[in-house]
Amino acid sequence: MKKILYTIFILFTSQAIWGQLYTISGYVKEAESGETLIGATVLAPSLEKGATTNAYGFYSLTLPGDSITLEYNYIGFEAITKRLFLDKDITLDIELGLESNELAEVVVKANSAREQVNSTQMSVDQISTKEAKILPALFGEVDIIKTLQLKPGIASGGEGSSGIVVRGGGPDQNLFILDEALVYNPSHLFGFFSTFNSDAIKDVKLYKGGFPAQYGGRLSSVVDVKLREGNRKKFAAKGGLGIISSRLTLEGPLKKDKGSFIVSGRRTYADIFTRQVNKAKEDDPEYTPIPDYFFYDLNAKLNYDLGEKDRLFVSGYFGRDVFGFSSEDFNFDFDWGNITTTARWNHVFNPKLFSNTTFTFSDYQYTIAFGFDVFDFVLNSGVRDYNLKTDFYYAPNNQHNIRFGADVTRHNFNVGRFEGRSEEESDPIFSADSGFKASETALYVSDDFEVNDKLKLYGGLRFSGFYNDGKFFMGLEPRFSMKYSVNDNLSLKSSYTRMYQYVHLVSNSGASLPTDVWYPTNKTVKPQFSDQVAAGVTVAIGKQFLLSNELYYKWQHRQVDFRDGADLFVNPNLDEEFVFGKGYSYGNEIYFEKKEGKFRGWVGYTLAWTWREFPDIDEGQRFPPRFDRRHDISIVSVYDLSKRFTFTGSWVYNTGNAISLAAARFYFQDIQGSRPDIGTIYTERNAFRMASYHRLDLGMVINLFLKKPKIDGDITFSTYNTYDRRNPYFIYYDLETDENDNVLGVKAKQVSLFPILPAATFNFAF
Amino acid sequence: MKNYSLFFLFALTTLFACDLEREVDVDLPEYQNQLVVEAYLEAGKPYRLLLTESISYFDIPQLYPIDRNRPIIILSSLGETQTTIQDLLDLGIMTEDEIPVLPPSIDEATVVITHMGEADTLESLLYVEIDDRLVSPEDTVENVFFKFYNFYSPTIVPEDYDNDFQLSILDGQGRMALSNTRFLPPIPIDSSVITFNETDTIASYQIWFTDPGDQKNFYRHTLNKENLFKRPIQNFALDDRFFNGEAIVFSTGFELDRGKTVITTLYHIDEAYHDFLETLDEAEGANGNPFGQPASIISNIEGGIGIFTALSYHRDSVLVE
Repeated sequence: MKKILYTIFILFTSQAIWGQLYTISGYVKEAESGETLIGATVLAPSLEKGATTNAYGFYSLTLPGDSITLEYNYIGFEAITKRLFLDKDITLDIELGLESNELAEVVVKANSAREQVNSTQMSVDQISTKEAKILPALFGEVDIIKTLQLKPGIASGGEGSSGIVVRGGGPDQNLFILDEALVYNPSHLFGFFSTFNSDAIKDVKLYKGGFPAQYGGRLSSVVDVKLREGNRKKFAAKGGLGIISSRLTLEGPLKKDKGSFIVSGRRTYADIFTRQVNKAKEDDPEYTPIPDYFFYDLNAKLNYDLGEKDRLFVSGYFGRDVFGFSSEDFNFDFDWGNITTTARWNHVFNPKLFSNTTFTFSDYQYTIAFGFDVFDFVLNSGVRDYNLKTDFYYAPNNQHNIRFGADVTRHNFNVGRFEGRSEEESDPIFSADSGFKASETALYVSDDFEVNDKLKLYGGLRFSGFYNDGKFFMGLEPRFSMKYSVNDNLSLKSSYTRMYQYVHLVSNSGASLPTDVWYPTNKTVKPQFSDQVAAGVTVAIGKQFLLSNELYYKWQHRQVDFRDGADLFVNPNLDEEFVFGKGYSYGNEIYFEKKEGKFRGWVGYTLAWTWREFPDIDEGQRFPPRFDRRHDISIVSVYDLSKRFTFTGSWVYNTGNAISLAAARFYFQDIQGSRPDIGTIYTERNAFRMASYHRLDLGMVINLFLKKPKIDGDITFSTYNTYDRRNPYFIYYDLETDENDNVLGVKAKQVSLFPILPAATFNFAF
Repeated sequence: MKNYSLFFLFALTTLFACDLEREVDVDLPEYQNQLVVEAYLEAGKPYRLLLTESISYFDIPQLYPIDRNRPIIILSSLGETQTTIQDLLDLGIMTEDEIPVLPPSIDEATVVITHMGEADTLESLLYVEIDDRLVSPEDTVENVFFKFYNFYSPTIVPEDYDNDFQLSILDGQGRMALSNTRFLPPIPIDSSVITFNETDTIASYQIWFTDPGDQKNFYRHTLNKENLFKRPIQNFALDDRFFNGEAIVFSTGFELDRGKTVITTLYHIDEAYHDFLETLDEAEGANGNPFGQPASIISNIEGGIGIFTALSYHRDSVLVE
């Protein structure tokens, strides 16, 4: 008790003891481009005080008036030291230059080991695009979400998939945010690639627990993707040519050091070749045309300093997947994609108070059109959100970092619109649609409180609400975390979070597909919520190594699934198809990383269990979801042989997916006028395990430095699945028959998706 | 509507092009065979029921030629006749190659259908309906489907929309299966239209009917060319979500030859039968579909699997001309 009183005494008397305090604030930026740096540190070593830049590159540090020395640091950049006499509040923007070592371009950029030990935040992974770009990738297509899958606790949704499964949460329980705008379907090509173009991305953070209070709306993870702002100093271009797509990014100042723009696009081009093949064979009556498929996306962003205290940002994303098939008597067109728009205003009220106000628009739609003979059918579905939110950062002193804000979203759900037409009828021969409008709101406040040199506490509270169908649902979401530093290199951390999710993904397939639709909470379908506790230890070993271990347990309440035989197709009574249950998952994640040096990389191991329990499924017995994986290992390494050559490798191993296989069958004669069939009987859900999955990917980066014209670039060679393992994708039964079609037996066959796949990519920048 | 089936096709095209398949061993848990019941009540026809059992997936399904001396009740345009395969062979009506094959049936069982308190015990007798018009050379056992039942009662099913029919089965192994069902009133086909294409050679066929809007309705529609013993060209079940209380059309493409007959049957089915058909289809479709979530078959047979339902239908036979 005495200690607590002493602490309180120190808290409230600290200002008096130190005398007059002043605040230094400003932005930390990259010297070459003027881009703000997220997570850069500002340190007053003599006072052992410091701060880090927020998500917008802004920092605020309050110190006693005196002659002081400040160190500005960011990994991969030359540190800058500033000496100044502090006798008033000062605004100081700093630009950090890349380290003189040219290899800095490929140095892993994330929080240093010491910073991670010292942070209250746990259960977070951060990846920079530079880190992701050098690692080997499927078809050479860099995908930052797939790089995140190499971190412990974050599992892939399946072979080659950019979907993620975090600590036993479903694929629909991840919140993807692109420049503050929600992305409902963050994937291309049925999940094989994410919608995030690495050339346009500045920073990605994935929270798998210990969620800060400003985030809400999904149970299991938050993937916060920030787009680059563009070069404020000079015009620049970069791009790449890969085997399936090409990219181009243009950026430059709107007005030097006042504003900038960036435009980045990419497109796949397999369709260009398949169209030529189809054209060449169009006279062959036996030839079945290859379907057309391509995807593209475009990111654009503008930012401008309205003054010293105000910055304005406008950014947008537009992406589409287009699939088409046409034959003499059948046409099929399927396209889907996201649009997001963000308008953001940063305002510095005073050195201690910073605000970010954002309007976002988010839209996901898919349309399927098919026609045969005289009939045409069109199905479309989607969700459209308008969101307004404001966040305030208040740092009254160096011990408190207070954040508060409000958030309101208007959702428009088009669960499904289906229309059939005939050439002979002017009106639709039938049509049906189902849609909802709903509103979601949230208020939050949090404080990251440095109690003393050893103890840091984070406390947050989020109040969320959802209005639909004449009913208001609400949830209180407490967030706590704690860090105790045993010494400078060792800290213990723990956290508790509650999350609410008010929209649910309607999917009865084993994987996430573009046709899955989002469905709002209503009188029948209550909001999902989860409670998660985590405890861990983080150790910095020297300057280069980081070791962490985290244990977690997550309870997932009011989980949603579908009754057997559920009909989700434009069903106006979809509520009747849901079944409700619970889930729980627990596990341990070990992570060891060498963060710097010529040889660096990490090893992650997750031991985990995930269960679901639904009274209406398997008579209430618990069952593992498809993605329950007991063991998950990833080893990632990067070796810089010289300035010119870098070698990379990653190896992953995980327990095979849990799947359902048919246990029995029966002869079904059917009624007169129909043909007999064989009925298939499934018993326990997901009771069978496929073989384990493991894969080695290798890569080599050859850096190119042309002086005239000055072009930097690289050629990246990689092999996916280097030892050509036949990893299971799915298993099916096949009947063995003789030449007279008599059944001789049944064989189980395993299908793999990717053999060894070499790839080469050329990247350039000037 | 399996809106994921196109992805499945797309994926499969890619997969098989790469030849990435291999055989694997699968250890399935031991399976206890279940009674499988198929019983369709049709007003004006006798009670009949097929009783078989399910088998483990890896057991090889066998079909056996019907015992040539086993009594069979045949319903044809001549009425009911009791005969044997041997009699048909001797009369030259059937050849050795045409002896029908059947799955192993459960013949030792007590099968009782009760209606209005009157219990009717079905005999263990083979029963089949045939059509005398099946004389075309292409009407072979491969494309003609006769429906055999191994339990039969001469009692004619009454057209009763107000009272349930109860089914109880107790087989020789002590396995019991129970169910009940009721007739729904048939929904009439309001009109039908045959439309020829521009070259006047092939036609499409459309039927119109009106869904009663006062309740949720389920339908099954079959369309057969020439007779009811061949593979249907249309066969689907659906509910009325898109057309509740409205007129609706079912149509073929331009695929019907001039001069041929088509038989359209519109069944007004109950939810249990609809769910059974849907889940049967989904369970089958999940095999080999990486995106499919296998469904348990929803059956109205307590203690077994299968369906006990009353068939109410409107049937039209139309000449394409």
